[in-house]
Amino acid sequence: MMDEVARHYGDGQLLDRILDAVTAAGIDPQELTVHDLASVDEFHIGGRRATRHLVEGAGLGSSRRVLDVGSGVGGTARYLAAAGGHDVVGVDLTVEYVETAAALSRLVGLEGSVEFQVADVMALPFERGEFDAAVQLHVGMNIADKQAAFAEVGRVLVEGGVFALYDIMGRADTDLEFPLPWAGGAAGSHLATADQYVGALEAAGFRVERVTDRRDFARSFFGELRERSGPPPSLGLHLLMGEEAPTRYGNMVKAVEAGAVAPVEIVARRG
Amino acid sequence: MSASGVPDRLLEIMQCPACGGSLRDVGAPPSLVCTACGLRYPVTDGIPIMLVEKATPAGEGP
Repeated sequence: MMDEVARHYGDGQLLDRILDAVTAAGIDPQELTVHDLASVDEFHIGGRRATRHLVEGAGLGSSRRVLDVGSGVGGTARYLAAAGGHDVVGVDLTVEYVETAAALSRLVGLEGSVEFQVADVMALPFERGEFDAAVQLHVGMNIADKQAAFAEVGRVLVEGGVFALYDIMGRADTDLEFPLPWAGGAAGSHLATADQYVGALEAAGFRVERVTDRRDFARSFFGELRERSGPPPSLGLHLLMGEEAPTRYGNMVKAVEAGAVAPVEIVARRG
Repeated sequence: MSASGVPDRLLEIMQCPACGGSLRDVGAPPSLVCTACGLRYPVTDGIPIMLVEKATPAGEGP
């Protein structure tokens, strides 16, 4: 599964594409800010707004060290460092994402407070209890054994540490049209319902504090995207998903609007 | 900064993902080597590749 996930997401020229698009948008890459990257470096539904909603609701405020599971190109990690002052470590299976995350973080001057490494959530390279909090955004759809993954996250959290996740959830047997942003076909997609997430979290030693269905937020976010006129912004999700981006994204929008899947937030605490 | 290029504050909290052993920081080639099971994890431009599947077993070349 691991190589499949890494292959699905990586293709070799990502940083160049992002920097070309930054230049095309009239921004000097040497003066790039965390804000400039917001449209491309957080590719979960709702982008930075969704991140802010998740972390504010989860009360990450006083957490010093935060682990970002499946950190992608590092958008969430940089937001947490820049806006919340957290020390963030991001892990991802895709080497190119990790390299891009590190390079973008250097460009915006955050290399002191965010670190990235290639690692698998099923076997995290950290000692027990080293993190005060963990976040995971749009990652679980690629994880078959969620209970084992949550147990690993729990192992590296301090007792009482908060785990805030935001995944696309739905029944595993939901009839979906592929490709989707997280998988080219059914074999790479591991959907679970919010109830199944809660069960897996509790079995992994977490107390679930809150489950928030974000379907309405997603629908209004998609509505705003549709109403935007003019050509697509040069900094956008196509940079990450390539030519198939409109199809992948479109299939996801259809599935959310049909009620087959929905983005859901869960906030849990290590018992 | 460590010999491998991995920041010290990160090294302090890391362990071998295969066996949980502690990691030795190595400069040539840049890598983290488990002091317990011997697996060698490559470090590329300061980025540790902490995947058991990509690690080199003890006794084999870099």
